[in-house]
Amino acid sequence: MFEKKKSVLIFLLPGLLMLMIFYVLPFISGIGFSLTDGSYKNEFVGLQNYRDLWQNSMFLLGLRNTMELSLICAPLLWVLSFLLASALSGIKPYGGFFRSSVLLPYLTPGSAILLVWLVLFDYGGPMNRLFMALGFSRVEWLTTGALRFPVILMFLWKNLGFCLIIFLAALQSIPKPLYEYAELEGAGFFTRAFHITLPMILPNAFLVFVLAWINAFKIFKEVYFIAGAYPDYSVYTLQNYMNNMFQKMNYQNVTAAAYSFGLIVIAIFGAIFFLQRRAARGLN
Amino acid sequence: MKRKHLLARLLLTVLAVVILLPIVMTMMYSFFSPGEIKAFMQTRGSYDAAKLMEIKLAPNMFSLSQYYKILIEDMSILRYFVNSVLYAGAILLGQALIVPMMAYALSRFRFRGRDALFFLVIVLMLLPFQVTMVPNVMTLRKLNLLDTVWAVILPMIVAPFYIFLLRQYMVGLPGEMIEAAQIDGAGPMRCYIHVVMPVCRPILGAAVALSFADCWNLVEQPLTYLTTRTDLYPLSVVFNQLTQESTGVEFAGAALYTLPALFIYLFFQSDILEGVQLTELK
Amino acid sequence: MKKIFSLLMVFCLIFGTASALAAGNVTIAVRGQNDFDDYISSAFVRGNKLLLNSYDRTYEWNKETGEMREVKGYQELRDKIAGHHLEEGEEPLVALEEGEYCNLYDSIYTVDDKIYVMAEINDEENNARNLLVELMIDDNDTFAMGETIDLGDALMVEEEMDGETYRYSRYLQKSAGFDGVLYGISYGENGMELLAIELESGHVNTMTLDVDGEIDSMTRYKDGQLLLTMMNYDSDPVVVNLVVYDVTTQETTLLGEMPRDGWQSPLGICYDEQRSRIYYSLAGSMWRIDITDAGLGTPEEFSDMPMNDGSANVVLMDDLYIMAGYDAIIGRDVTQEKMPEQHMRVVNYGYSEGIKQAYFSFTNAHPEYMVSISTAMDPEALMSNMMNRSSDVDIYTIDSTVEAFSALLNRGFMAELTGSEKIKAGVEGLYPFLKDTVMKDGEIYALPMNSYADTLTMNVKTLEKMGYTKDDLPKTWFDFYDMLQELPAKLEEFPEIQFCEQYMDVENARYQIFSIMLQDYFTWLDADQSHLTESGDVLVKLCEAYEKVDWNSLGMKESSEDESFGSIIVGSDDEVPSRILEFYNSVSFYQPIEGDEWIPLSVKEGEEPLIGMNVVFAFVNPFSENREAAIEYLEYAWDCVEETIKMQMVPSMNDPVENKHYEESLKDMEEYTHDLEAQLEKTEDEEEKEQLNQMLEEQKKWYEEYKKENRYQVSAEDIEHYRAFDKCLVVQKSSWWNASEDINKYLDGAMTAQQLATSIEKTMQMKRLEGN
Repeated sequence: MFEKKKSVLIFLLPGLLMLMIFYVLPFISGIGFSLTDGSYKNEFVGLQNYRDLWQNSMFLLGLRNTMELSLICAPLLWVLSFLLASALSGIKPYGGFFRSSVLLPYLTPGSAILLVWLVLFDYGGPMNRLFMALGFSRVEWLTTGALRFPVILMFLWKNLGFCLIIFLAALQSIPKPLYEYAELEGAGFFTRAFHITLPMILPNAFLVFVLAWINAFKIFKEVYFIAGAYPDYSVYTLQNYMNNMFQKMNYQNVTAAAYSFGLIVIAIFGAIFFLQRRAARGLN
Repeated sequence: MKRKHLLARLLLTVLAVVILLPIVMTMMYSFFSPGEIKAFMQTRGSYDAAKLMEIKLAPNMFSLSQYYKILIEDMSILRYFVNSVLYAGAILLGQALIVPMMAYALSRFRFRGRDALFFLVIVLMLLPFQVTMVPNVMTLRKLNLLDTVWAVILPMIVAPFYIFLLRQYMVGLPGEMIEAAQIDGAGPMRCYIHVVMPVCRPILGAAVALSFADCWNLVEQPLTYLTTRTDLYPLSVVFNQLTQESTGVEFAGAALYTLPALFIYLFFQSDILEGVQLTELK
Repeated sequence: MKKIFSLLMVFCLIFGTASALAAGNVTIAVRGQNDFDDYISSAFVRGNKLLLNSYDRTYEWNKETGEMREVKGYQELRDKIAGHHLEEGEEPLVALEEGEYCNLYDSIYTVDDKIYVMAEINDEENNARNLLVELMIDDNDTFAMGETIDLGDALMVEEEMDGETYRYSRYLQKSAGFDGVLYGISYGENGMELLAIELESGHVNTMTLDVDGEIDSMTRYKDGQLLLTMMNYDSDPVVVNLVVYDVTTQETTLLGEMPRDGWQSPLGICYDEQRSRIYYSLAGSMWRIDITDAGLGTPEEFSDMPMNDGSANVVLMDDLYIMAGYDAIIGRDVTQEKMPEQHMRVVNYGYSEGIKQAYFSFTNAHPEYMVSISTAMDPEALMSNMMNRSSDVDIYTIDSTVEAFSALLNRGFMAELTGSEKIKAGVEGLYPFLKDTVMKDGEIYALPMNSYADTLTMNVKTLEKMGYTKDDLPKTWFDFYDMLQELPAKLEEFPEIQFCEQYMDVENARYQIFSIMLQDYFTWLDADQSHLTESGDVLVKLCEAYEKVDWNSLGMKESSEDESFGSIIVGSDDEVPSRILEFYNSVSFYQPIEGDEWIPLSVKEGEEPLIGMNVVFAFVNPFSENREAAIEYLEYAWDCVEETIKMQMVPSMNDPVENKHYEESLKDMEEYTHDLEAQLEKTEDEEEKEQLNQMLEEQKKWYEEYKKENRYQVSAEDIEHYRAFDKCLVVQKSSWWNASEDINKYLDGAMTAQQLATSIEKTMQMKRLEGN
């Protein structure tokens, strides 16, 4: 550890300065901004914007959808990537092809690939053909509440690989004999995965969960590209709301929403980190 | 035992194919002739119960005319592509200067407010773009940067996620390594350049690849910061419009746009795996 | 002593005015002011005089005195040249063969010291050729014809359309002449082309340019060169390049890129050899750029220019840049060093004639102000300007259907206008539905400047022939569709009656009617917030009723290619039209064709129909640094709003508007009657006599009719007729155009009515719930 004050400044200053200019200072000045009426006169209105915001049904809808989507997506992603990693770690080093392909979507520009998704989920597209072949009726994927399904699918498609390799990396640190012993005991795949593997890699599992959740909170681009600024009610996210209010020039409302949501996010993750610390301490 | 592996392998292969499908389809569609793809795309969006889209994987006739159109005939897509390259280049360069230093300071120095700063980085990492959107617009306006390329580039440079990623990696580096260098009389700067940076190669590679992916997929920032300068848009923003207009060349554009990401991925693939593996993710 | 003093005074006065005129800007004439009402199509300098030509008149403006007068005799010369209104035994000045007739164009071209006018000569076999005819004016204002140059048919273009051959003569949009050649740009096969007409031989050459882009304008440059602006539409945003074309070497040199204002390009480019500069107008202002062979300097704004007229003519007269166009003739001093500090910028995006016209009255009262009126800034740019709290624009006009209007009003981004007594009084007088739109919390924020409404029209007289009465006219869309279901049978009974004008095919008619219905539906949705929540079914029901109609049985042609139907222009003669429906008809003070009745239709049974009025509003930027002046400008603009438009918005204006041309037209008609009578007396030929008698009779009938009916531009009946519908009027806030994609899908059968309704409603509902 270095402790010299002067030298730390060299390393810290450029980044810190930019953090201050582009994030911290605006954020602080924004608080004052969220307390004015936003007209050209900029009159002080106290918490009126926040009151209006929390009574706005579309804000509440967006907030609920963002929460719901993240609560569906994050656990799903977590479980899927964990199971796949467990399966994959057993058969390495031959899982190379799969491993390469699963990470690829994370790096592909989603906006370019979106066209294919639009084709796949068109009312007359392959997905509905599959449905018809299976004896179901067709679904209006892109214009109704069913849009949630492709959105979740796209989220999983994109993020699976990254979560998977974090798990895989962690799994490599687990000593082999442990598995062999367990297999002798007759433990099946799921028992092994959840009772032996998971406790061993808990910190990494926690990190994957947090990362998954963060990214799930950010689901918006796909919705916006598929269904525009006003998608179906069920996929109308908080970002839709903020974006639309931004377009309507209601900066006050957007900042109020931003700070409200920021607080919620900080509270949630604060609580999670706190619990994780305690759990970790408890384990030790 | 072996059979079970076979089954698992089969399943994984199928899954891999499914995962690759959208990318492969994009590539395939880019070899359709513009007329054919245009006709195909126009069958979209019909709610006529009697009508289904054809399932098309391969073109009737393999054609490079989409590419000919965007590369030679009408360069407008290429221009947006160049914009994308410039954004990615500038942002990555800026990040290369600032992010590792910040991570180094956060991991290898002890100073007052370090934990608070780290907490700030984590909080920023958690928040979606829209939360900082309005404050950012305000600042950029005051700095007279709105509707310039800098509005997109500068805020992206202090990317909290990569500060976090690098910091975690550096925390995990064995302390002896740096101490040895210190004993040899190396100051923090020399340690940083000659000891820390070289051993961080994998995570740096991983960060470059991941950050490139972010830059290559810029959507919200240009839309918000460049409202009157659509000519400065990166290609990623323009796809939406291309889809709606259906000019018949959108897939060649998409394939072309995916290609650099593919190369970057192939180039940095091992770095990503290794970097993540060695990161102390606690 | 007194004498000397007063002489001195006079001297001072003369000198003072003269010097002020020489150094300053001048407004030479404004259309509609001081009895000037003409469209100047050419302008050129002769000595210290500026000559201005309209189609049939010549004016002369004296720079020293600042006076403009008409030079008589031009029309007479034109008549003599072309052989119109000739006296007995006279021959046209242009040599014409038997059966040929001659027409003169309005533009006048200058080549070296001579001026020419273009003549087109046609014969009965539809052959045509062009002549350039030299005009001469001497110092005693006497006009005469000089040489004629036969151009043959080099300027004639033939075009095939729908199996018919059309023939027309190419028109020179811009011209410049020197060294015995007249250069001009003109539309041809390859878009805008550069033509060179050699006067000696009458040869017409099309020049090829080896640069990308399409020619937009042309002007003379130094040493036998031309300056061209070339538009490059391939790049985004569009680029305008300034190019030098050397007529001897035929080489082109790119000088640089010209600035643009939104989608507008520079107009009226003019080269000043003495100062090596070019002048042009853009964004309502005058600009100058230093120009050398190496390239362009930086543009400098030096004055305003209230005209925005691409076809305007510009000439340089010493220090004066003169632009003569449709609205006015204006001179700007190019030596002006400093712009006035008070500079107001108006963006007339919604387009209001009042805003445009107010320039003259406002700058008259406030010569210290410079006012630049542009039209090019779109609402998105305005919104982002407002977000930047920018003071760039002082006044903006916007259409009520543009979303930005309500966003700006609700977010408090318009300045209060309540301080102005005049505006307050104006708004007080408005229809309540308009008043409510421009007011919020007791303050006035905007002023309506223009309005337009339209609705379906049916002809009652035609319907009566078929046995309907006035009470049978539909009141709702459902009534209307019911009627359309009955019509096929009735139409068979009355083969002389058509459903609508014959150019309309089935596809088109279906689309038009559906979009009109959807517009009505949108208007209804906007009229009351509560309509959104109950409405899903309303649109579905409308669509169901719409689907019941058998469009193919209404006797319309099946596709636009179908040639078996002729086209009948209804109302061209005095007979009652034999068609039932007209799609768009403006709800205004202009009487529709006889028997036609507006039929606003309601979208819901039991409710009154609505007519959506598209209104252009003007408002003042709250961040404007000239707020007081801007409000005053709006006061002037309100005065400039045409009376007939104002009456549409103000219920208390019920005085008939007189027809300005009434007396004059009557006199013309009387003259023509006398002419006919004189001819009748002279002629011996029986056949001709009969013909003349018939003409005379008709002329007398027309005269009586005109005398009776055209006394007023807007008569008391017109007003009464309009006011009978005024309870239906509401401000139209959204346009069906926003849903056009869905409409197409629905009409193509790719979407059900339910899906259409949900798609439209969902978005509107969400927007409403989000609030502003």
